[in-house]
Amino acid sequence: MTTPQEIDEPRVHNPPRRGQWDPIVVDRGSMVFEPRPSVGRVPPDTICDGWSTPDFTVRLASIRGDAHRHAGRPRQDHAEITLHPPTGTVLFAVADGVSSAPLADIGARIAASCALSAAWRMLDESGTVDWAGVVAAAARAMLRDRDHGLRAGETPADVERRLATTLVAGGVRPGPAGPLVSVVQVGDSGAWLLQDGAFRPILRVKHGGGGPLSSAVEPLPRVPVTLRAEEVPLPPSGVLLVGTDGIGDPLGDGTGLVGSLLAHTLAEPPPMLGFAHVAGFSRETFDDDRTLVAVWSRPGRPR
Amino acid sequence: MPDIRGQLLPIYLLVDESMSMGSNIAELEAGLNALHAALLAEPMAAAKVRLSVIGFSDDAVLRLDLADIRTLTDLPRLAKRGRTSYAAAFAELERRIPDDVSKLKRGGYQVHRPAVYFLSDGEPTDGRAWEPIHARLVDRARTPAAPNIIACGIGDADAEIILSVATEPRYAFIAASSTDVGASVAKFCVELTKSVVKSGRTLATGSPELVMNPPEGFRLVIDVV
Repeated sequence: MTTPQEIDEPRVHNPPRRGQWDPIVVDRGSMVFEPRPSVGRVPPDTICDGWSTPDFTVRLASIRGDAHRHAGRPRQDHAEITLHPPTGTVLFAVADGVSSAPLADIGARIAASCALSAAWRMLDESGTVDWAGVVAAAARAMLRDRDHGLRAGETPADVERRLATTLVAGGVRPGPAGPLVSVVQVGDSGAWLLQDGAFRPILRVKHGGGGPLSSAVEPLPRVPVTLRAEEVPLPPSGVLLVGTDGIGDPLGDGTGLVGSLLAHTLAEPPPMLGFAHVAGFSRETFDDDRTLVAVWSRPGRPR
Repeated sequence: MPDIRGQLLPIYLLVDESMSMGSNIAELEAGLNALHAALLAEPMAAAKVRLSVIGFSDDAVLRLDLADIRTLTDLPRLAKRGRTSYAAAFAELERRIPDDVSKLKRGGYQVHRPAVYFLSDGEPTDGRAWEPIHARLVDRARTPAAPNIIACGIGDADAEIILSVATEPRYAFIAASSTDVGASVAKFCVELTKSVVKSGRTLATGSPELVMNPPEGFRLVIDVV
């Protein structure tokens, strides 16, 4: 394994290749250590998922960041994917629990899970999804959660202090004109279209201005007054990426080493565990939880 | 936007070196050693911090320049000298912060809003000359990287002035007048260390605020004035 500090010119060390399971290190890596357990909390360190339908290939990885691994705290990101078979729609939900909320990991799980259920139910009942309604359903589920929702005398702000989370929910639906992506956002998680090595943001990006960085967000269960789903076609050579800021921050505009790593390794769907290996790259100061969902279209495959 | 090599928080310790600090300068140096040790034990937090130390009296002297604590071997020595020019202190920050932020950005880093920890044991000896300089420094329209300032007053520091120095009322602390000044410096350093480590830990994890609890024996100025 190459020691990154030995080389001044920033580059990717231990790039992914068959049988290479050392951490992929971008420029200078985070410290090397054995993670501590998050005692008493359910979410495992890393989850990954993935499958293919006649129309799409999907990969998901949600990974505890080095900061939480080192502190023995749970992963506060969460994501889920599912298929709505009658329409062939891939549904996804990605949530990033706000670290100042003590039960943010639970908030993220409630929001992602309920968003996905609501979208599935709408598709089943009407054939379409009202994405603002999906967000409202996720917020409602947080407020009504039996164990952690509103208690006597509390306001929604109390639940926000306890469970606050971002959410990006959406779907990719096959159609005669090609697949269509619909996606809605609360907070600073993001979505991009990766095509020809370039990352085009579909949603509002976190650090657009030239001022100092800020990690302030307006999270669920607060629901933004104006909430509009973005719709973009998924071209045959394109990949839809949805991720938390653990991915978005080091990715930036995609022209750096992390962009080049992701563009190179995600040009074709990697194996499920290989996808998690790539998303779990190590880069100094980027120690937040990381969650990434990727969807590739499979044009021309027989149904 | 080129490759993003990391996200950093510039931290400035702006400390009073006037003669009245006397032997408490040694307490302050001991506090810096403790901060250094605490950050070495938290390498992931330390990786996200760049530390500068500025001592002020008649003028302001840069004792430590945007240091990566992990590679630091020699800690700066402070020197007791002269009077207490707040104007010199804030003028140095007004000059330095925009340059430092540009330098870090040119190095490929994204930069969080700088944090200043201000400690003084007396009233400014240059009257109100510091006020317009401070106003320019913290005006986010004029200084895009305008810092958050946590201000701590000990000894003869004036509570109202400390409140004016801090960028938010919850960032202004004053030691009880009965407290030994040396002990106050030590307690300040304990909370300073906790605040710096916590800031390094929580950056980029959705926690938007710089947090500092009142050092032992200190109170929030707004509870006093």
